[in-house]
Amino acid sequence: MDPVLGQLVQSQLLATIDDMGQVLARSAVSREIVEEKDFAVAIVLDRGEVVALDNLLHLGTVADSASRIQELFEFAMKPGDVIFSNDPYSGGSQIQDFTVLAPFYHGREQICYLVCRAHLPDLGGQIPGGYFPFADDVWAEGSRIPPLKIVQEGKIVRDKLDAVVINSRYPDAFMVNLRAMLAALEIGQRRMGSMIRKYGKSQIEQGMRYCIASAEAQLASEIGRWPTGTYEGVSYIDHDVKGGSALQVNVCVRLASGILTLDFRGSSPQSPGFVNSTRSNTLGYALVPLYAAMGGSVPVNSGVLKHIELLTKEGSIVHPVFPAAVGWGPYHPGAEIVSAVSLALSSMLPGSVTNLSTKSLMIVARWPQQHLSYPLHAFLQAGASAAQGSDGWGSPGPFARGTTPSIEMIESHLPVRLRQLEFAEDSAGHGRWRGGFGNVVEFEFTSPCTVDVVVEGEAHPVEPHAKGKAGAGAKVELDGKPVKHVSWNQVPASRGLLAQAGGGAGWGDPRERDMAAIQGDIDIGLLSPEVAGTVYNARQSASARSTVKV
Amino acid sequence: MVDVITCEVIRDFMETVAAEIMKTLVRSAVSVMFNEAHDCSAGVFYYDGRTVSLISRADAMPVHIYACLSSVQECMDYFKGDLNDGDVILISDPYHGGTHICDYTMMKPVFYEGKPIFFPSVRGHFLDVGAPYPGSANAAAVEVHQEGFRFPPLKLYDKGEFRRDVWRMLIANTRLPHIYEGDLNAMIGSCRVGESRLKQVVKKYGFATVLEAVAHIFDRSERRFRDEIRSWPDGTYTGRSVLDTDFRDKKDINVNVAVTVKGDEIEVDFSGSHPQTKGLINSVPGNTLSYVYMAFTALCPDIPVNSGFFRPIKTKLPRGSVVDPNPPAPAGLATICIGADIGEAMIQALAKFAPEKAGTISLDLCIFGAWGVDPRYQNFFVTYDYNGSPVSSGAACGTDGWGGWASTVSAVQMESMEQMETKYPLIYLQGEYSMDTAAPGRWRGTPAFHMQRSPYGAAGPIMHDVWIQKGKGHPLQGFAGGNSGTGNYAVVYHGTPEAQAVEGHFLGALKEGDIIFMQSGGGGGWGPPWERDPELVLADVQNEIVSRNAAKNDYGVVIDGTVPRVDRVRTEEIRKKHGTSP
Repeated sequence: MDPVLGQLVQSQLLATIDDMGQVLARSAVSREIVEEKDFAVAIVLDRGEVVALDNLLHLGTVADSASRIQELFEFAMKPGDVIFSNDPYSGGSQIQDFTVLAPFYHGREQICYLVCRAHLPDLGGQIPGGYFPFADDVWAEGSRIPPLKIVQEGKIVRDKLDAVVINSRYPDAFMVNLRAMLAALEIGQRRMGSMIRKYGKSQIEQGMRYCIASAEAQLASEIGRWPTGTYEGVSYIDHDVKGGSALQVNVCVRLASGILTLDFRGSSPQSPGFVNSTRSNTLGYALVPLYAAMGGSVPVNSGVLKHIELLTKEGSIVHPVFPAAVGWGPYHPGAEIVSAVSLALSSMLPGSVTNLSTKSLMIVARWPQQHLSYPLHAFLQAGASAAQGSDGWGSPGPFARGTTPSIEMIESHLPVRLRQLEFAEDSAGHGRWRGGFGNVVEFEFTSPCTVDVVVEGEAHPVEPHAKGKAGAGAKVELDGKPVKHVSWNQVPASRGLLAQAGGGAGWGDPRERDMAAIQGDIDIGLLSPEVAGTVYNARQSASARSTVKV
Repeated sequence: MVDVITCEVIRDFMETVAAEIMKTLVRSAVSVMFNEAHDCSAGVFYYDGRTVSLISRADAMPVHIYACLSSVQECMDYFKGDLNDGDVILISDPYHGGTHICDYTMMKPVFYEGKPIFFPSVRGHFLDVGAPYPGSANAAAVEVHQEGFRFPPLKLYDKGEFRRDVWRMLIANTRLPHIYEGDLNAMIGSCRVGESRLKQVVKKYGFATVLEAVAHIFDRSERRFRDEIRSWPDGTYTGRSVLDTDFRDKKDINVNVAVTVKGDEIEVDFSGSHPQTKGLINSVPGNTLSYVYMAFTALCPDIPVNSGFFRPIKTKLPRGSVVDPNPPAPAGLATICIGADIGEAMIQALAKFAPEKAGTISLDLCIFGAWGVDPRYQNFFVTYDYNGSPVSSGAACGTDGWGGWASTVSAVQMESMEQMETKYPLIYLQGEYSMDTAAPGRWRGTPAFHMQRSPYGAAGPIMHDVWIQKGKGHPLQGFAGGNSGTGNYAVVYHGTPEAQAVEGHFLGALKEGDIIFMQSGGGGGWGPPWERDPELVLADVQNEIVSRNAAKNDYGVVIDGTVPRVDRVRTEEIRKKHGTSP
């Protein structure tokens, strides 16, 4: 296919999914979609082959859940149908994430599928919202919906949809968000329709194949320049939420005969709690550092998978077996998967990639009398790690699509006040280039509540490499005392909860850090002179407010 | 104009259809809940375009009767205008006419002249419906959302076409898919049997005749019941029953009922009953009304039970109470806890004008569930042991407690211990009546049942989920001067230093050799014990149901001699000293 035309079609397809994502983000009502942008939009072919996708984290889950839907409805799909599924064990990740798929037809011919995947509010289970640290199995997290046709030839199938929605504690919000997803698909239908009218069916089909082939070729070209050999990366999870000890995600990255193997088989066995990532989820997260290493020109679609091999052991934390709980998978071991691959790649390609991971906490406040709850951890922002040549900065991956919530909005409708929200001094990981700072947030509750806390990233903050130092670990304190790793805390009114996000890892030897940069950090009050002295060997001169090397 | 004989023949046909549906279900289902315990029911219904009516129901668990009716009504309302031949509809939501999530109602409309007229329906208890914890009751539930996957009316077959994705969704939300699938298929099969029999009766007699007979069936039961009501003295009669705990934070949850008889009408008013609770004992109307109707049908064993029978009964259920809660109150155990109390309160009220017809009608269970992995098949199992709870029958006027469940729930059977031991890694070490535990009365209640059970051949620990209902606080009551039953209790790790009595609820692991002991108390006695025929007391002593001591202290009957015999002189002395009234 003429590459110019191919690129044109590819741009149009990307614009289409961009439009779909905009419609979704602007019509939904839940924080996860609107603020966090925890969703993905895609154009997919048969067998879950992804042509275009806006959110790399969901490459595995979009491909696998779409593929499962296609498999189960192989002979039962018609124009105007919409099928959805949230089942982690049908190619999904966590119960709250729904894949919604609609076939696109041109006349009677089926051309492709439009897919939208997003986090919907609550589908039953023990805990509102579905994050249940004490879950023993997936059923404790909510109701599983394997692929279910909810729109049949343009008409909503009322009883099937009601059977799902009745299990949500927030049926109205669930329906609004679902309708936003359906609207996104509808926009996709219209855009694809115009594209076909403009370019013709044949060109569009060729264009889609071009997208995939081009990603494949670009990846092959990139990794063709990489060294062969095996490079290992290990990242740790503090605990398995059930009182067990630390878990590890272990990956060996190996390039041989043009295939890049991501071998996770040295990772810990699956946890008895919800710290498990389905294999589909693992794939998306594992690819994040890979794409960063390739510099951003490679399109995100299934083309890259032709030269990538993901090896996992069934029954491990990166490939749990049914019916394991998997609710926190996208966070832990999601973060550790990104971390482990980052570390392996940075050994393989020094200087090309940093540790792109950040470790999330869970802090959910609930006011049962008022039927309110809020994930306070949304205010926490961990530090991004430094790269070669740059201090850690900005919204850290892999959740960088999101925005921090508005303090004014929260204070206006929840019985909570924020007393402090700022970067934490000395939280950055030290290095020639320092990590980003984690922030510290203090909440004061004006009404008694319970706060569910799961602390991770305290004992094992984001791992550094290349002689850099890890940042400060995360911490949560209630009334000045550290909170237990997994706890439900009753908090009376007027009490304070302090939470600090971990700092990003540093890069390179701190003793090589530029003086002016050190001074700058001291000037903004985020590096204490004591630490400047001990770690950076920098001392403030008596006369002027400047630092000199010792 | 159809003659009375034909109407009766058709009525009996309908009763037989219900019985056959039930038998089919019981003989094809996979789960012991159905094929051994018979915790299910079946009915034949009629639809006039607006209201669903019960024509006949099988001898089965009565708590399912009315809930079947209200569930089916919900199905008809939901799918009005969209019902077709070949549809099969399923429903489980307590707040859509049900009882608790595990009880599924299935119905299949049979069409005549283009309209859905009759339908067979089955209802049964599914062991596991995907709640956060295995089994049918989640101790940590404060909302119905925590009790499993539930659904309002849902078509399993649409115009005869199997909806595979609906089936998959249902199977995805149970921990026991192979049992679940088997049971669903059994239900579908039994509905089909019912459908074919209904078609037979219409074919034989003609549609118009059957319709007329159905109207007659309702009218006749209504007439006979109204006659019965007229024979009862007008007045308001109260009853009350108290449940020990809501398994959460409330104690002594009361059900109050006032039954007003006026002419040939009845009003049943539950005002004054406890507000709904956080614990899983809230009885939705489908459940509450089942127990209300059960009490009246128990008083009139000769009148056919159908919607005609229910016509003279008006009910007042206070919204937001334990007998008519607002969603999302949890309802998991309410079929028994509060359910049984509704039954008890009702019969206490009815005993005030018909004492000779009153007796224990309620269950009094010490349920326990267990789950784990069966090492023989490496599969996950969940079991409810009805052997722990077989003796709630109390006395009735003229009969001692007959040894099993109260009459109204006696359609449910115990799974045989041999079956249990074959199917699950468990072994029974004791299962027998105990002495001096039968509620004394002119006619006595059933003795308490003592049972010991232990994991056996299990690969690892077996989780035990034990619920004590009707503990020592508020045992089953007696009637007309009879005593109360002994109540229930359980001890885990029995015979070891770690032995602990179960306070309300226990969820913990028992391993090989650990023993759980439980006492399930019998129902109440009838009439003053001092009026019991001394020869019957002698027989009790000979059968080791009553000790000689208790014979004297409870009954005033002196038994002596190496070969036991009644000492009539001393017996009369003691009884005279005691007086005629207790």
